[in-house]
Amino acid sequence: MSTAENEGVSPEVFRQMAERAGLGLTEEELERLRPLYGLYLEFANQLHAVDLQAEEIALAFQPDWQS
Amino acid sequence: MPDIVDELHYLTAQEAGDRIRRGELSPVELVQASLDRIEATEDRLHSFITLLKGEALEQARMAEAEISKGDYRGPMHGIPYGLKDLYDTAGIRTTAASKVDFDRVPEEDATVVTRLREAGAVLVGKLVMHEYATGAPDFTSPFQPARNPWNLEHATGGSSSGSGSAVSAGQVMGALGSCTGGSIRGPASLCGIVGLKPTYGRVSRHGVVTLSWSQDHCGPMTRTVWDAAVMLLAIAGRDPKDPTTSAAPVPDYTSSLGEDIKGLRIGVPRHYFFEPNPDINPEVVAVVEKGLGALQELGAILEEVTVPNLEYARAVNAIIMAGESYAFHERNLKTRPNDFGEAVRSRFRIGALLSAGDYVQAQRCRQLVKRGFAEAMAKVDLLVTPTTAYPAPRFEDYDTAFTLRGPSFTAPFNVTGLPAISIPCGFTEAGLPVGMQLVGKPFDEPTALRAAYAYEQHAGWSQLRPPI
Repeated sequence: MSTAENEGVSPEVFRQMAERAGLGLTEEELERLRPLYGLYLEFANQLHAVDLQAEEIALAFQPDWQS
Repeated sequence: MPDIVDELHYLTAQEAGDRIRRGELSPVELVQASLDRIEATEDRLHSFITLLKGEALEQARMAEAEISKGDYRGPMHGIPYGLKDLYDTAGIRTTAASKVDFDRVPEEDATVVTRLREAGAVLVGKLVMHEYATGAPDFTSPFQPARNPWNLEHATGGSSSGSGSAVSAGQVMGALGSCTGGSIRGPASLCGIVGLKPTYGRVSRHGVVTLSWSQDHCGPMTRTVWDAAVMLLAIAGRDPKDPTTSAAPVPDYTSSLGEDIKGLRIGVPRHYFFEPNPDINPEVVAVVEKGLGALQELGAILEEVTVPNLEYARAVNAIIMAGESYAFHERNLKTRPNDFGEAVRSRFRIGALLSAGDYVQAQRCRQLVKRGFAEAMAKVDLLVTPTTAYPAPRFEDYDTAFTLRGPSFTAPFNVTGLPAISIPCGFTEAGLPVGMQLVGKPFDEPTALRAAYAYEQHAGWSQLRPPI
């Protein structure tokens, strides 16, 4: 599992991602958030490595007008 | 070990309800006992955000008047309870323990609040929680963290922290918690009480502040299994205001309590929940092993099972929660970020940095996890596991990162929506409670409750009281 030494992306790439997301983070906030992002990136990578073939998503759209 | 005691505030809802029904106990007397207990302990516990003393006594007087006229509504009538402060209450501040919603006063009750009122339950107050049902104990928050009645230097677990402390200490007879990764069962386990996360769709989420629409669950936290069953009965069922609720009939959850469990087939997934792991406290595992032994003595048949794809559950839970919580909080995160606590703000912001593909992949992997449990439970009636990997930590040892990094024994059942109940199972050498988790098949709360009740009656842990 991720640790502070494995922060997923470089500081510069992380800054660009945060800007694109419109988060408006300070340098200090960027520095603090990057290790947490590294942990979530590991989670995401674990799931992307699964060969799901034709698997559907767990949530289904409901066309009735009550929902 | 603390002595067994018999004080009014420590009656179970079942005992108190019986006395009220027979006219031997006044709801006013009972609610006053609850308020007295709060007054005597709240400065040490910090369970409440809003105390509703006047309103509670007024409701109790109404209950007393109704019952004296023969209009007895059922076992929750006149019973004092608390709400985690993310359940909307009309005209009563509902903060979700955040400065963002510090002054928010809803105009409408959550559906479950309406249902408990209709059942005659008496709302005593709104309970402390981790901000927006995530994060950690935060001493910089305007709402001080709840403390564990078994040892005030220890946390209660979260996020239904005040619900755990208030029920455990006898401040209220029951509470509603909410759960997206373990927030009902975790504090129940760490505070030595019962916590029931029903099947997804069994209980309405309408009027409950969202953390993750597709993983949020509402459920009772009580001192006994019978009380949890009765509280669930009061709140369960289809709600047109929550399209994810099920129209499946709601059974009488108390009807199977007391039936034996001879021949009940219990699956034990040792590969994830029991095997030696530096992140799992061996003392907790040893206590739950004794619990398994007791279930076997009661006639249950234990069988080791393997749950395919279980290794993805943690990531699925985290990625879905990140995406959905960010979507819910995006506007406030961008316009007033400093009104969020640091830990919560960081977690929510992660959702802005993940891709739509990450979220969709998590929702697809969720299907794999669900099928894995269906396969593992094909030949058993229930699964049994420890509820948490550790007992209540000291506040200074609370590791926020560990709550994400370490193993979660509860999150798989938010991912799959399976019903799961935590019941007291014993204590560590240091006197901290340990919980055992029983997991049922979809909408089969009755079997989980039946086994939990049988164990509870056999073991007697629920009669012990914390030293406060």
